[in-house]
Amino acid sequence: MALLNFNFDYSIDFMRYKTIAFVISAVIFLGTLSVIAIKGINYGVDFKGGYVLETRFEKPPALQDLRSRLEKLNVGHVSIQQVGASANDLMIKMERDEKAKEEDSQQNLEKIKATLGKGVEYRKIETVGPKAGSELTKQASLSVLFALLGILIYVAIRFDWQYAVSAVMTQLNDCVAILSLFSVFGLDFNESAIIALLTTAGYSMNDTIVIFDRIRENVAKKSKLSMIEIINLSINETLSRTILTVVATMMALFAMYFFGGSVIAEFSLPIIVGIMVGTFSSIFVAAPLLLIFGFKKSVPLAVNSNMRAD
Amino acid sequence: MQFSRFKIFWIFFVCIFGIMFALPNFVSSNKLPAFLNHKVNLGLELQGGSYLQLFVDLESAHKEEMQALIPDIKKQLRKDKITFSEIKNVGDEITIKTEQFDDLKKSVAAFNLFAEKDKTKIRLFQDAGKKEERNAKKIEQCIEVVKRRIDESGTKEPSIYKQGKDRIIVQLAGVQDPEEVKKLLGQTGRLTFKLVKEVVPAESKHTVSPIYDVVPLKEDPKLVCVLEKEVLLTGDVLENVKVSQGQGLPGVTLEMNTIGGRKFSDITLNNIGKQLAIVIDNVVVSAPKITQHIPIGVASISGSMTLQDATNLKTILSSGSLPAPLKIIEERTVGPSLGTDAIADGKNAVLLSFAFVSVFMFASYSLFGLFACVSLIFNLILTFAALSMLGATLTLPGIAGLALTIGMAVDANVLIYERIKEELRHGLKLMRAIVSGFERSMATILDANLTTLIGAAALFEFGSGPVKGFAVTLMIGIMISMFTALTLTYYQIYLYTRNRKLESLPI
Repeated sequence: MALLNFNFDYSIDFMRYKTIAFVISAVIFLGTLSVIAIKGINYGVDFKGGYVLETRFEKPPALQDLRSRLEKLNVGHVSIQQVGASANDLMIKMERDEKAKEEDSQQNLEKIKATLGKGVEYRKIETVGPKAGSELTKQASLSVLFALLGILIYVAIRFDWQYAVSAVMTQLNDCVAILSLFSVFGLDFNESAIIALLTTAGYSMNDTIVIFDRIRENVAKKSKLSMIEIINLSINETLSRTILTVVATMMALFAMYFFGGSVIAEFSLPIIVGIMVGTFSSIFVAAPLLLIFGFKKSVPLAVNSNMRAD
Repeated sequence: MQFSRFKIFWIFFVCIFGIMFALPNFVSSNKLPAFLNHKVNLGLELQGGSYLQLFVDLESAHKEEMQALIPDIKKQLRKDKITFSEIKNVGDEITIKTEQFDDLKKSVAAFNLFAEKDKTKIRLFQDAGKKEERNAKKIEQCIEVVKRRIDESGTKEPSIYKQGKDRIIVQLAGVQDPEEVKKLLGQTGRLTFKLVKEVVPAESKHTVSPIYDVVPLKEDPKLVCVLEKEVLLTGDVLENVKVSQGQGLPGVTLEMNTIGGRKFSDITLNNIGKQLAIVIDNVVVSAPKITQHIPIGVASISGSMTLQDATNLKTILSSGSLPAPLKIIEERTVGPSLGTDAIADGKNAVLLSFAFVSVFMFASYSLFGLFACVSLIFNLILTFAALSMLGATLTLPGIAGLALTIGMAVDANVLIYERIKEELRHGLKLMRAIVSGFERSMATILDANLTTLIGAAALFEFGSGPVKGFAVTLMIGIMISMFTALTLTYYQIYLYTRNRKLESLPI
């Protein structure tokens, strides 16, 4: 027999908490949106344009001095961070001044390199024009829009329109919740952030569909139960699977976060947060949304060929 | 529970095929037959290398083109006896004043220019409709020149392509130092020969009459050359460019073709005693005095350059000039040490995540958990095989796609096992519970995977760059996970259960 056993006979009344869960979700959703409106998203150099240099010095440089010398170049705002355990490894970021011309970027890079002096190994150099980022956001948003549209249509056909709208709204909720990381908590929003968002959305969608699938099945099977009871039952029935999957995924992600090096770690953090949010929202947002959109059992279903009544 | 021979054959076929094609990624290629040498390319951020985004300055190219037309237009107008004044270049147009508008219109048609009356002057411009076409052609030419230059510098397998309306992307994998490549791209390499009127201090350049060109001198920034406007020769006549080491000083020897040699012969014959300036990208790189008639078309540039400079100059001149200046507006370079670290870290991350998941799956489902892990290994192997066959590039976003796939593959098996347990709790017999568990979770897994697949397909179709990279591995991974998580796991369970009388399931 297995060492771990998650197979308790769960009978948690999830729908009892739906109001409070909605309130929490709404607070996060609206809170994040308003913080984004006020403070904006902390766009990284990928979007604003600027310079990123990951450098390996021969000996730890005097940071204060280095910073002030870089500031004097008037290239843009300077931030210096240590990378990893060694004080010799620094990540130097300089945001592009809004007035700066794209064409000057190479000259500016030369200036920065000259300021850092000789004997520096450049592990990574990035100079990014301001246009590159905005083009990427535009493209990414557009493709996400089409992706959601495709999902909306598919779920509407396979399930019902209430399921489709609930699923897509849950995705939006999750995406906004993750955006809070980049606004409220000030993480750099860059290319990997977009990918982290997509990964989370994918996972959360999978999670939502699994629960919806069980609801669809129970709606067809258990005609005596009310909708609230059916949702509760479906969530409970799939709960051990939800826990197992989320724990397994988390284990993989934690391995990536702790042992994957700085690049992969930076990348996996928003995914870790996103998957937690996604799991929460599949249960507390997606399922109750069905109720709000007035899904009734009497609505005829596209009955699944694999489903047989007991 | 039954597996036909046909189905078993297919399962083995896919698995063996997958292992074969994934193998080159893990074993050094010289031990393998040649048809198996396709490997997954690693993205620049993983293997080290440079990504350069070049902005093609089409506007300034047009401006220069128009500027260059002015002398010829003047000649033509004089020939056609049109009196004019104030001819000058404004942006990508030429403005001119004349009373003979109709004559002018006919006259400039030879240059493919259109004329339009403004309030006080006449505007000459090129057909706007053909502008796009001309721009596209310029960019094509730029890409050709960039290719030649990079190839000649010895960089292997650069990937060079157009992006958007006025961008060129250059990707150099595994390049240690992109500086040399950047130097090669920073110059258009436009070569002209002009006569020197005089050399004056840089401060007095404003006093020079506008009928001359004032061009800086490479050897001494304090001086400028005053040049005749007439272009005697251009880089078009070059036949061969060589690096030379006359008197130990590195330099470049220019060998001209027959036409160029004849012209050069005439120039040197008629201008003995004068200085001839060799101008590259509007800088006088050399201005030797013509001491005698040179009947063969050979000129040389030397002095104040290193051997590397000379080699670069040779590359630039022999690859032809760029039709428009290029500016590097975006650069991403990952040094080799970071690349090596990233690969090592990446391998660690994948192996450890896999180990963690395996232990967890075993702890939760004992033997059945191990079956799921075997399927998971094949999921990875088959994905690598597919990526290798497609010649795809694995980037960081691609790894994220892979991670999501693995999550979903684990989820598929978890779904099946939980369903089997549920069926057992409902009192079904062991084998019935297994079959029913697989059958009933099939719909869930199909819906969940198809939903994600639709999303990924949209991202692939409409996304770009990193989004596309993510979508590719996700799509491939999901399709493969349907095979591994469903068929392969089922087959393992079938093998385990078929000849045993089981009391309970190892789940």
